[in-house]
Amino acid sequence: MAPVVAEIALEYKDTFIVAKFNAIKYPEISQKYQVRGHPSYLVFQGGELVKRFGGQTPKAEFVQNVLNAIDVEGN
Amino acid sequence: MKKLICSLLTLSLALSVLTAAYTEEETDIDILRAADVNADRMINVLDLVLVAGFLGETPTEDQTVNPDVNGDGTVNILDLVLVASYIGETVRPPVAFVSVDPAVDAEITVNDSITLTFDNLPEDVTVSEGVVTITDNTVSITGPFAPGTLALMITWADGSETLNYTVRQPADFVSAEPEISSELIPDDSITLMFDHPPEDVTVSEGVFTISDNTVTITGPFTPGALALTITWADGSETLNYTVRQAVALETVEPTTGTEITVNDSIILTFDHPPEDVTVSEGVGLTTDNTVTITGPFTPGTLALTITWADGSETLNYTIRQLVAFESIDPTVESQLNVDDTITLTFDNPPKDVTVNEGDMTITDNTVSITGPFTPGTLKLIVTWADGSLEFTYEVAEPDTEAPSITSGTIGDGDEGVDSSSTLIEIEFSEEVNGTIALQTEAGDDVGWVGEVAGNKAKLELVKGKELDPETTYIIAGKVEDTAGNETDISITFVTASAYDGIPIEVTDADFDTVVLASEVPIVVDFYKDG
Repeated sequence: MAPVVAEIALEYKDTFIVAKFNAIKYPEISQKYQVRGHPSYLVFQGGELVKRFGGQTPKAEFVQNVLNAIDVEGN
Repeated sequence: MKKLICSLLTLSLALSVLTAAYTEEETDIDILRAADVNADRMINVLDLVLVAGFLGETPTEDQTVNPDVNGDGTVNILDLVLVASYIGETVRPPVAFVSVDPAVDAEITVNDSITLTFDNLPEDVTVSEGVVTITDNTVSITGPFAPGTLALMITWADGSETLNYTVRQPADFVSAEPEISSELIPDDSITLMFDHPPEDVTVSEGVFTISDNTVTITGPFTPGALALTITWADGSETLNYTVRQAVALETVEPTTGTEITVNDSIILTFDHPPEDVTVSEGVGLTTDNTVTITGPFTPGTLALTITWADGSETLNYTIRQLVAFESIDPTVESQLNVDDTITLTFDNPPKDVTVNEGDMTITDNTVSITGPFTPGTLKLIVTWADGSLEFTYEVAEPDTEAPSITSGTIGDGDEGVDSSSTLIEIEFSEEVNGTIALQTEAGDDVGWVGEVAGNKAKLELVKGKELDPETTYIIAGKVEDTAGNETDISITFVTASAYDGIPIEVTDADFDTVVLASEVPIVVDFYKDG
């Protein structure tokens, strides 16, 4: 995990959770969500996949991708 | 013989001269009868011969003739002279009393006449009382006689007689009550007044009694025209009346002794149309054979006296206030449950209440009617002594179904519940009452505020009583619907683990429960290990 992700996780812990999933170890889930590259970030809300993006993403862009995808209460 | 007769004729002639003075005097009938020695109604020479034949003798009582004409005890020349002095006279027979009417000892009135009959015309008639009238052999003695005992002495030339009577005042009719020509009923009495006690009373109809001057004639008289003839010793009188049927009371409705209301009517039925009807209270209306007496009557005890021409009757009643309906709860046309209670209020305690459905109790002015009522449209008929009303309701089918939980922010068996939750809400299938609490797995109250209202229950966080992560809690309670159907609440949930900003590791085993079930947006970093 890129240090920036850990940083974002800590910074936005009250807005969203960041989880890690070993795509190699559990290929079925990866295949289910068609994860083909790494790192890939899939955003879920309410049990639904609402966003996916990947690669070495700058912090601001990462955060923006997530916030744009989720329905944050008050936004 | 010829010589004797010639001598007697000569003697007679001589004695006639000698006794001329006798013949000029008024002759006493008794002397004449004595001179008629042979009693042949003629005084002649035969009488002289008889006297002459006994001259010088003293007559005896057994002799058929009495030649002692002057009654001096000896037959002598004086007797011859006396006979000679009446030679040629005829001698009338003595007048004897034959009969009297009325008979002696009878009762007569002061103005009655007493008639005496003689065998011949009596002479020199005198009476001790009354006025005498003589007609042939009859003597009438007319009053007035003094009332009381009468010893009437009548004297005539040949005798006297004393006749005893009781003399009373004659009774004259004075008046009748009821007045003549008035109307009677069969059992009426007619009272006749006389100026004196009447005697020998008879009446053509009815039964009479006499008391002093009064005669009372009692029916039954035959209905129709009555010509009542009363006859008494001194007269008779015919009194005309009209006799009508007596009117009798047959029935009374309501019967005496019962309870009625102030505005009730009392109906009396007679066997014939009554007359002169009066009532002591209320208003009486007569129609044919019926009298209807209408209130208002005074509440309390009523002694109602009805008087009509032929009688009177007192009827006793208890008068109570009329009871009027005032209100009903619940309102009509509303919906009821089968076991609901309907309450009616009256202005006074109602009597004789009946209902067509439900069980009834009466308390003062209130009637409570309790189910079970039959589901559907209820037409409740309430009848009381003074009226009847119908009320319509809709009776719902009985609710036997317990309330159920239809949704909630937490369901039984939920895991990963956000431990930061501050409000838990549960929704029920219907309105409920009850209690709800948040408990630990051990059953201890966590301290949240529970409230049940409407069809919801909610638990609110009390500061300092936050949920712990990864902890089992139980939402426990009991609610019931309006029909009393109860439901126990028992919802067990587990809070999620705490997230402190450190990315969490997810496996395929818990991917669904951690990622997909997360209430918080989650970013999954699919990394490539190594």
